[in-house]
Amino acid sequence: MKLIEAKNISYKINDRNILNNISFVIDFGELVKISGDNGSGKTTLLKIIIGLTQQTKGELINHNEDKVCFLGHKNNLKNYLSIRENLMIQGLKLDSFNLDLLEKFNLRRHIDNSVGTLSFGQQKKLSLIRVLNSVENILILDEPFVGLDQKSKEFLKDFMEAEVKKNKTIIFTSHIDFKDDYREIQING
Amino acid sequence: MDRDILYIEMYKLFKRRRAWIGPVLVFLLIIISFPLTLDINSDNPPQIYLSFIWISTLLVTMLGTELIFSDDFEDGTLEQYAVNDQLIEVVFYKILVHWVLIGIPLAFVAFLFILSLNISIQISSIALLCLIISNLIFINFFSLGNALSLKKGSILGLLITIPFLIPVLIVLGKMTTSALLGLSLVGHLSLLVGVMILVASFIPFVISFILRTHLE
Repeated sequence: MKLIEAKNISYKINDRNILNNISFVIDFGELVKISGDNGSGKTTLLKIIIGLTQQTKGELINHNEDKVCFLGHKNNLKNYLSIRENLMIQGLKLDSFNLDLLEKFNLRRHIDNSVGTLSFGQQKKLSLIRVLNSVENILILDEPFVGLDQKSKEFLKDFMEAEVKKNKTIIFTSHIDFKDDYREIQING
Repeated sequence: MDRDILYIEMYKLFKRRRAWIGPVLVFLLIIISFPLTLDINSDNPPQIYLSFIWISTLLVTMLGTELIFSDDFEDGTLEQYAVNDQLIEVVFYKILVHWVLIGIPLAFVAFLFILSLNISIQISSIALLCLIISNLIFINFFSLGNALSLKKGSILGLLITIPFLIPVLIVLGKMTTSALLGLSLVGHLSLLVGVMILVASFIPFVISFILRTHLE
């Protein structure tokens, strides 16, 4: 069942072509990796998919009507709040699942520290907790592995593969390869 | 409307104490220092004090709304809201929260100052009502200014919005004169309430549109 159909999508800023005639179809329940060099337009394509940016040419048909879980380059965290408070304002409860995640990511002992005191990698892990709790059927993640240590990368990969088996759709940008089946959309800006 | 967003916005602003206590303290400092430059026992007409309060609250609400969107824009929170079509709700609640934590406290601090000036309680109460209403108008316009200049620093957008507030200041001045002369205020008050309703129901949509263009 089709989720997104892109037909000859192009995107241009100030006479500079970012995306050039890209066509693809993404079905529900697929794990899709968007790959390409730096500056090739991966983030722009994600923004077009989620409707934040409008393509300058071509057509994008989105059959999804539900909310999506989106994690962009920025981490959606408030530096002046603690980990506990950041989770709270994201609507997450400190139940055993999230406490386990904090333990796994070595964040539990910092739970009352302000996020501004955490390293980039720790902040990235904290922002991923929202994704790991997501109830949405569509997850769109922009470079989710950047800043993570090897153990956390493996954990996230396993999570993504498990979620796809539950018929969720995950579209992400990355340079990391997966064990199971995934589809790759290669773009060259 | 998602009430969780209201709670979240209230919590975020409340925790950034400098953002809401700061403007109230600045205002307090201004109104404490103002009488030091003027002999309040002399026969200065009350219009001077009230005009001074209108201008001061205008400038302090400008200060208080300086970070209304920039923080959420920089950390990606606005992007998240935009993806799920919740920008309008967020804008509406942000303005409401700034009014509750900055606009209304400013009005009450000004009310205490007006009471201390031997101005009748009736006129002071009308001034309080006017301040509560006008602060919501000011916050809406300054939020618009901040949204306009989100990527370019806040001064330019704020300077653009100040001329829109001059008619509000004129109405407030006319109200002061009418109140002191004992004339009816119904017309002026209705005008102010009308502007408040119009501004509070129209500007959030304009702001959410502007924010969306910034996120593209």
